[in-house]
Amino acid sequence: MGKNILVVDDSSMMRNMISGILSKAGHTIVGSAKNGIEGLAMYKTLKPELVTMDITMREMDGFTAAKKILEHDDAARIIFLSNLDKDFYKKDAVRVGAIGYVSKHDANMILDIIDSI
Amino acid sequence: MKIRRDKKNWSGEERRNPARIKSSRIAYINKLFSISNLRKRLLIYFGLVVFVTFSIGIQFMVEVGSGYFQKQLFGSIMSQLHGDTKDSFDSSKIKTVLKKLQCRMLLVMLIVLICVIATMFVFIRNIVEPLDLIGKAAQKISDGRLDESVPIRNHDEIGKIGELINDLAANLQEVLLHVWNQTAADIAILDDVYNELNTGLCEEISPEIKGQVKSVRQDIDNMQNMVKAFDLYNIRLNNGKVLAHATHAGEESGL
Repeated sequence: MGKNILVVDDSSMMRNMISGILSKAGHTIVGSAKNGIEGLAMYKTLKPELVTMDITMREMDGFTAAKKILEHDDAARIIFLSNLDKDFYKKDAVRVGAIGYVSKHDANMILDIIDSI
Repeated sequence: MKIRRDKKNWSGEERRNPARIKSSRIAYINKLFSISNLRKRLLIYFGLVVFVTFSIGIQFMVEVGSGYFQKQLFGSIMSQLHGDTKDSFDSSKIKTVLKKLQCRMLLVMLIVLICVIATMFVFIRNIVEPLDLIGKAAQKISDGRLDESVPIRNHDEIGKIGELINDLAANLQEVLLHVWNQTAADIAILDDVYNELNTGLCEEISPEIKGQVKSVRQDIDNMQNMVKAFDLYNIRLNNGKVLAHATHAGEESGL
């Protein structure tokens, strides 16, 4: 069953790419934000079932945004989607409370995580 | 323009250093008088408005105050009068009115001058300065400094241009990191293949194929060197890994 998803990434190209992958798989993109601040505000208003979150963003990075979203809603489901080294940052993502970490060059892997929810 | 000087890094001795104070003053004065082409053009346009207004105003004041004009005016009034009214005509009252008219004209000119200067400052602050900042940041980004960004003051059309330039830089960084991650994975595979080819088990492989593998490896190195030529935002490339600077991914997020 398709999910309502919020995409947070500072690159419009990546937002479009992620939205394309998720839409083709039957999910609905309820919003897209270009930094953590926008992402947090949109989460509060749109209440999506899932958030895909980039890490390195200006204004507010993905880890900070994820922490703030989880402070607001501890049931929030966040998947980090980043170019940063997976082995190095996956444990940080788990510590923050995210349900997964996907490398952007394997972006299709995100569908496997969503299916497993 | 607001001049930003980083004073917090100055030690007390450096702050009292006359050479340093002098060079910073020179930099401040240079910045104050540095005029971009857009500012020059703006000054010319507003200068022309002031020049035309003052020319008309001064011409009017000189004309009204001239003896020839007053003589013609009094002559014209006198020709309309008859008998006693002509004898009791007092020209000093009309002269007073003309003086008031001159004063009002002077006041109008001053108001126009103040309005023009105020408009010019608002124009420089809201349009020219943001455009200057966008130009400087865009220049750095085009030089490969993707860690730079255009400061967004307002979300008007100029702010939108700044946002689009920042987005272009972010997109370019994504492409470069994608290239880096893919090539890092390819290097690992190619190194394995090359090592395998050099073992005794693959003697029948021609040196030409080994050379081709080496050549592809060199091409990938060149691609990685291209990525390294850019200054990426909050990213350091370390032994083929993409890492974030600790200040953002770690400290600020409280990890």
